[in-house]
Amino acid sequence: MAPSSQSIHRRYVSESWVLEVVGNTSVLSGWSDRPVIQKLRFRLTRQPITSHSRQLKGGQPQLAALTAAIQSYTQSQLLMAVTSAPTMDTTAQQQKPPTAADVFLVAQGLTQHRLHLGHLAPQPAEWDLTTLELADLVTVLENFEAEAIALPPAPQSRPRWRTFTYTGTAAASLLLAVGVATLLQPSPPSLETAQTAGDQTAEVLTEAEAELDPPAPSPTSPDANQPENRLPATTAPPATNSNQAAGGTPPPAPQPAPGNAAPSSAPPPQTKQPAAAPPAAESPETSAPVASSAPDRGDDTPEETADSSAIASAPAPAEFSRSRPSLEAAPTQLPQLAEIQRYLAEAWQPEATLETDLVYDWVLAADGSVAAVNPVNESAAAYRDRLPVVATDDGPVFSPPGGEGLTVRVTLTPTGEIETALP
Amino acid sequence: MDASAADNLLFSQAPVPAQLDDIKAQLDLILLALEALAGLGSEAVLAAAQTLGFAALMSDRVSLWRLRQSSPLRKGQGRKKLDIEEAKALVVVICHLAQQQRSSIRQAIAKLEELTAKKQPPYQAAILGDYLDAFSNTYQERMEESPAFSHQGLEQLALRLLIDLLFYSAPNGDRRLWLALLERSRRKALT
Repeated sequence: MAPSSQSIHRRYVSESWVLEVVGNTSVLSGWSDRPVIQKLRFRLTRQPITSHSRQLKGGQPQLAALTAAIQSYTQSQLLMAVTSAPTMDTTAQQQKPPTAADVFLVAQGLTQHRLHLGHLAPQPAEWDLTTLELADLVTVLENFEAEAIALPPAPQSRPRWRTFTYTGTAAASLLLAVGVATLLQPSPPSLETAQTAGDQTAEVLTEAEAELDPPAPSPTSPDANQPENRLPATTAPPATNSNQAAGGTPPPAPQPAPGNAAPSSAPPPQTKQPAAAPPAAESPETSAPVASSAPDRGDDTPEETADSSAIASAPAPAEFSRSRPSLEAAPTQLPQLAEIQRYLAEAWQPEATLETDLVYDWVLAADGSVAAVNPVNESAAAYRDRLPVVATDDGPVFSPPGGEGLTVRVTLTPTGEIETALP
Repeated sequence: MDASAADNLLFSQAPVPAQLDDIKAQLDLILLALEALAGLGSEAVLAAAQTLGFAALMSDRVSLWRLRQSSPLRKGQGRKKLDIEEAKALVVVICHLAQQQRSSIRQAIAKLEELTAKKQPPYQAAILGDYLDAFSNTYQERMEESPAFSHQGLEQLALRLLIDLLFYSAPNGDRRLWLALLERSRRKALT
């Protein structure tokens, strides 16, 4: 059986920055010393967090571009150390580096650096960084690099959110799963270059624009891994990759037998899915990668085919009809049931203290957004604030039901099972 | 070729003797900056070397002195040749010491940023004034005279090295320093 994809949430804190990363572990993690993350979303916030704190959000391509720009610039700055006549002056140095990248930094004297965000921002934007901020930014970015490998997303036609329309047929899913299984059978592939990056635009926000408070440090947060404790005790730095030697508490990577990693051997879709993931509820905007702009449920959209694990584990529409009697009447007409279930399977995990079922009515607006989440039982009301969904513009969006919307009864059990049905 | 591949390629190439000369000089200067900022002496360097398993390379003050004396900027001749393993050991020791002094480094840079923003000279902050004085004095005491290094030039060099120390004090500092040494010396060797 293929190892299930787990939600992953990391938070890296330095004096000047907080980098939060969420995503799902890929089955490729079994072949890596670090978790391989797919569907990565990140949020970078400058500290101290105030109403005007700057934020940058995006996916793997944006994070990779930012990391490359920062590292390249930093290294170039270190080459300025002089052993001959110093020519450095403290006046602004406005030359753009000789690179085609539109994300770059320019020194503004000795202690200031201007970060040009380029395509990372929807509009031309620049951040002025002090040297301390630059160094701290390097630290959080490299701490993440040391702990995980981010898979580039597959090319997408829709730039921002991956759709959640389960429109492919079971046969198509099976074919894809077999294809991915074939790819996974040989020795570990080159993970970093497996796919081309999608071209997305990150979001530059101020804290006031962001609707969420920064999540509290998670138990697995590498916050405690202060730089002072992370010097690799090596005898030869060139032979030592400090990134890999860096500490942290990455979750144990699944170690599947190669033959078992094939998504084709994944269990048949079930109505009740144990939510094996740690809670990603603290960053709902990053754990809500769902959207559907068109009710094209009959199409096999190509962007969905890129996510092998999602496809392999995605239930075929017809099979949802077996989930509950109430679904039998109209199984394929209500993809939202499966979408909500799938979303919660990724984003929700029961707390250890949960003892009773939580029952909610999710009210979907005509456009597929979540208009309300209404507790049905008492324990659901008490648990409401911890549910990984927010009825806001930045919450998850499912297939538009049209008309007057749709209400879906969602039952979450203490064992992590998720049921969706019509009330 | 991406940056990571370029880094690996750089690591795989052993520096030629001409590069080692530049590496010697830079390592000695960086250590000098650490000494000037934190008042570190030979004992601290030797203790770090002992902790990190480099006692064989830096066993006592004499051997350390001989290592540092290998810098071509130093006064005197007949200096010891620095080999690649010694250079690597010095890199690790320097970054270890920089990590230990990270708080002081950050404090000094915060002051530098503050004064620079106000367009005031760094000497107005005690931590920077002391550092610059110590660096300048030690430099002039140990290094060959060079018309290229005026008082202002030395100040700029000291501040530049202070900023570099901040990056070397980070978790990935040893890799970053080694890369900088190799790349800089490679470029210099080409010119």
